[in-house]
Amino acid sequence: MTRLLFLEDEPRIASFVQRGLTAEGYTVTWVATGADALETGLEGAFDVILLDVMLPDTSGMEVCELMRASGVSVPIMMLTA
Amino acid sequence: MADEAGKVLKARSEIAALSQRSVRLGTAAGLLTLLAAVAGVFLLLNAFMRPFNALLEGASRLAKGDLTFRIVVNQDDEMGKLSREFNVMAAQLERSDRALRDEEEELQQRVAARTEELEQVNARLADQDATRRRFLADVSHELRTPLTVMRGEAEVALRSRDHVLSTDAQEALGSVVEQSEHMSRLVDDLLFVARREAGEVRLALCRVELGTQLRRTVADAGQLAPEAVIVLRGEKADLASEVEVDPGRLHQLLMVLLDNALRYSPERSEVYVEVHRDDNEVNVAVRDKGIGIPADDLPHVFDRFVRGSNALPGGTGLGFPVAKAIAEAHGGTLSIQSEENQGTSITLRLSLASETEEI
Repeated sequence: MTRLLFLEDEPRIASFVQRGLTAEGYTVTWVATGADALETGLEGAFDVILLDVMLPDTSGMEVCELMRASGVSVPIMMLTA
Repeated sequence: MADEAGKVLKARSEIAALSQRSVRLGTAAGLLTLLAAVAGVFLLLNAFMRPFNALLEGASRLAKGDLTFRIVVNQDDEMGKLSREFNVMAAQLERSDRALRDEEEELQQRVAARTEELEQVNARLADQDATRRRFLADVSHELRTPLTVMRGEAEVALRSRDHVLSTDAQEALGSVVEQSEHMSRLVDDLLFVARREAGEVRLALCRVELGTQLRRTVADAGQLAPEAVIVLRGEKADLASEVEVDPGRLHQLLMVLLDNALRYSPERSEVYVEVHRDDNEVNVAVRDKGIGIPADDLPHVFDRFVRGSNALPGGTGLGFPVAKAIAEAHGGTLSIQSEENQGTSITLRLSLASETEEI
């Protein structure tokens, strides 16, 4: 099972994306803030990371940069409207 | 006899001594008189020069900026008159100087007051600007999020393998997807026009060869309308023109023009995309032989939500306003010529990228 970390601040969007991805066979861990994404992304083992670009506290791009700087090497995908 | 002679000699020498003393006394008296005369002349000269010196000092003090200096006048002669005139002149200068200083001070106060006023207006405008930006961002978020949720939920339900959907349910969900996509485009267009009006459009500019971009857009438009005949025309050098644009936005603009041309042209009628370079600018004209736009509607084609009297159903009334906003955001223009039942030609005019610039 592919493990996926999903960062999305809007719960209504997170809800259907999570259900859709689960239906496609992914194990999805959802986080709502950039800080949570960093913490979870660094401690947990994920195969793919999916980041929302527009966030209220930070941007998905910044989270991506920090993850790469911290040694996270798995594929990161950006999600934008 | 000898005694007599001695007396005579003594008398002579006394006379001689007396004579010498009288000469010395005369000399001393002469010297004293001369001294007294010199002193007298000196005193006289000094008394005569005093008013001149006072005048000189006055002039020097005035020249150094001390306008309060006045000469003490004790005489009524010509020098006295001159000194009084000097004092009158100094008083006038002092008054003028004070008036000037007062005026300068008042001017400075007025400048300070006006500056403060302008700073307040500036702060108010900056505040309004921030509010408008926040409002646009909020509206964008508030309108987009529910549309994304609607479309996303419908797509997930359509793809779900947990249950079998009836044909009606599939059609209904398909319609939700389609309409929410349409609504999203409408919101995007509206926000783009609003942002353009607020001067807040951000473009991802890069240098592109116009011909390459046009061929891509023509191919995309051709896929949307396989029956259509779209002809790209232009001299090789004109098509090789380089422009600095946001390729996505330019594509969007041209798609609006092509979609409009195709929609209002008879089937299989040709639509031309013509490129013509002109000095430092390049014109891209999209020309059709369609139904044209009535003369009364022409001045309003770039207004929001205005649809022509012969417009077909399905449009939003936002296509041309968005196209114009994109052209203007690039520093270009969009102009239209049309004749009813003859056709329409819409021309985009863009500046060429500068030749020395490398991106």
